[in-house]
Amino acid sequence: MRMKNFLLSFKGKLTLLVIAAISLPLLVAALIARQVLQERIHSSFTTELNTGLGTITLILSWIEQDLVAEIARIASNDVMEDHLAQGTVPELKKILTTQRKVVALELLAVFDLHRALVASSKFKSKNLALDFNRLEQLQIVQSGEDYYLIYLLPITRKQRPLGYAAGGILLNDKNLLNYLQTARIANTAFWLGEKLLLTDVAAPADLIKPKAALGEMFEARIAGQKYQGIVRGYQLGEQRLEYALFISTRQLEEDELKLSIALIVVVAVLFTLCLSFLGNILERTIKPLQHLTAYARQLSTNHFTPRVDSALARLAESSHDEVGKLADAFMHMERQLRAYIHELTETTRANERIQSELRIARDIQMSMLPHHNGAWRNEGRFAVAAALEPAREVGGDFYDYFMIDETHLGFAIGDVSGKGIPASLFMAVSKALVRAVTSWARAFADNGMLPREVLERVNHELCRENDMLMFVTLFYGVLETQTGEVIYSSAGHNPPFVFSPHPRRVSLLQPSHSKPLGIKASSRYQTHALTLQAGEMLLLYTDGLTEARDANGQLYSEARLEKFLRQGLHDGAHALLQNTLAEIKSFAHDAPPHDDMTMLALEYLPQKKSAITIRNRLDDLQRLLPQIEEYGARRQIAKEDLFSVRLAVEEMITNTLKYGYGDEAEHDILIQLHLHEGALTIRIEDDAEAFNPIAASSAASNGNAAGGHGLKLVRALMDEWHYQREGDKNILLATKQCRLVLPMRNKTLAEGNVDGN
Amino acid sequence: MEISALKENGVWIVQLSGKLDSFTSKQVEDFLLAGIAAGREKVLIEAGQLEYVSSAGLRIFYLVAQRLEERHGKMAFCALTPHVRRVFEIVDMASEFAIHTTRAEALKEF
Repeated sequence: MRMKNFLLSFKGKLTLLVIAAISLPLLVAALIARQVLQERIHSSFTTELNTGLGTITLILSWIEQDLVAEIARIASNDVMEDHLAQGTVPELKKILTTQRKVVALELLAVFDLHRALVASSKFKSKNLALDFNRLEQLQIVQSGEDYYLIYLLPITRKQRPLGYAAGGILLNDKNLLNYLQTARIANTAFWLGEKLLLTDVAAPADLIKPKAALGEMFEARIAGQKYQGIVRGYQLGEQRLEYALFISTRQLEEDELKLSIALIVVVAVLFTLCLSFLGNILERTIKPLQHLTAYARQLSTNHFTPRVDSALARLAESSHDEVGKLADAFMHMERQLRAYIHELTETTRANERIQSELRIARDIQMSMLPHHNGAWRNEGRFAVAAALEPAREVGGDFYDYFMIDETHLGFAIGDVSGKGIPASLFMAVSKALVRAVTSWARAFADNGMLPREVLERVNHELCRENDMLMFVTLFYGVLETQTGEVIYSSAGHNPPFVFSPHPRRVSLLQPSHSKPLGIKASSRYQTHALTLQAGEMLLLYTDGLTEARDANGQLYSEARLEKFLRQGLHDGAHALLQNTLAEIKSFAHDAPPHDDMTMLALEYLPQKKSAITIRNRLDDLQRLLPQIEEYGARRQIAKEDLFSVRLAVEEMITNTLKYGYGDEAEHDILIQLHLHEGALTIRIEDDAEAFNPIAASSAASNGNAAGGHGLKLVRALMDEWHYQREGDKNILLATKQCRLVLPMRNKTLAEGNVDGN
Repeated sequence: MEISALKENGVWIVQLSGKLDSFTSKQVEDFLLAGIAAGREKVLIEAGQLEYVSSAGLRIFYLVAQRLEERHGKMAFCALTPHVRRVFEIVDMASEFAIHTTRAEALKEF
């Protein structure tokens, strides 16, 4: 595995490449060298052989020339001629013996003209058959196992033949071998025809005369050894002496082996040297790469916060090759990375801080809004439920609800232009202003304040120093908890839905064409009224609902909302709210919210006690009267008409308190007020003694008694009145057609003008 | 209910402001009766700020008139608000009291 990794690595590959690059030429060089050297060895071998053969040839020629010269000299010896002519054989024999020893001939003989032996030295016993036809020629004559080279010459004196002289040497003379062996070159063999004359080979039996042509190299196997040799021929008279010189190839093989070993050693040494040299270069080249690799790895494991690598810096500075450039690129990358990481860290930190602050801001914003688990039911008169889902951490929507006094619920929904932090700031201001103006009104305005006045004041405040031209649509309403009457005013806000359960009916409040708050300080708004029947609900919402988009970007739309409201059961404000939210979310599916979504559902609950109940005490009456005035003021009933109603209530109840109860016990008196198309009806129900004020007023009408004036006033001031006794109850219904006015209008206008200047 | 009084040309001018009903009438009654007891004989009720009166208020006026009659004094009204004028009309106060539009006009009659 490590080997595989090594081979796969850059270093491994380069190493292989280097090995291949070194070994290939080395091998080729070695092979060429081997070839050349081998040829040298062979040629020296051949030269050696040829030299040896040349020596033999030379020796043979010397022998031949010596033989011929000596015989000629002996034949021309005058003394010997004399003795031959005189026939003095003993003298002749003495001369021949001396001459033979002097010239180192094997034999010497002298024949007469009849070719009969006259005298000889070492000749007679040999019994040689000389051919006298071949005079002055060399002839080889066999004698047993021996072969003699003979030279025969006629002896003449003054052109007169005397006889013949013959001399010879032994061809298969061991001394020749000894002489040749002094050169210790090789083995030698002599053949005469097919007859092996002489050899120094240890096993002559194995020696077969080579078939090779004269002068050609031959191979032979003698006594299990390989030999190579060359054959030559030497003409001796009519016969040819063939001789061979051959050398055991063991020497040659040994030489070749030595050569191979030497070559291998040289190649190995060269290879090692080259490898170590190139390896060193390779190592030096690769080391920076390994350094870079380690550095890159460290860079990534160090969370991209590397320390300055001095070695790398040096490399980048000193080295101008590719590795140096790479190191430089690394240094650059490191710097870039560090700067980037730094920036990223800073950005992340800043983002986290902003996110954290936004979360806090969201918590603060949410905590500004009233929230109750489920719906808030105050004394069972109404239920109100609200929800706000910001599209971002903070948003510009808001809702609010609060008790203005014991019998009035103020409620509002608003939508600031834009989103996010700017909207949320403006939202906080808007919401706070609505509350502030409302509570200011409760504290300082005698009869509270109409919704349109609230809007106008809030608008006025918002328009101050609103350089960013932010604006808010706002719907503000007041529920009279005793009667279900709602007076409201809208500043450019989409009209709420009215949801009636029995029979199910969904309608929109009349859209009001009015400007949002914050645009123009002099904007005027209208107050409208409606009466919620028991079980009826108002659904206030911001356009984040109807403008919610599904995955395809399609808007939810007001039409869909209306259809949904019409179809659902919606048991109560909380259920209506939850159902609608679920509906929108299911429509939008996973699409991110486009805008803040805010809803406020207000349900007017069925009233068990639909009237104000007081005890039969003056204190209670004293508290009741301002409530009636306030009731009228909220509905913009002209003061004069309102005083008539107040007077009727005061007179009737005072009367009952003074005269109605025969006991000291506490009794309840129920007072109901109902305004319908300007007709304000009061219903007073008590369990006092039966008393018909209508009849009494007729009776008193003529009298001047102060007590009688009360009833007289009631009859005169009210348009209609009815009395009936139901069981033990007196029930009085009195109705007054009231003028509706805008009581504060002039005042507000005046204020507006003053502030406007 | 606010009450203030001043004297002009020997006439005791009582200025009433607010609502004169069953709960405030006692205060007005005490004030007026105290003044009569102290010798005031010419009484002008200036009702420009009196926005409401009920039968309880009327009763005081009748009571004061009765006391003044014993002393040969005289009571008159001026500057009635719409509601008060309407109430006075219903019980025909004009038949018993002089009712003027302004204080100056009323003073001439004393």
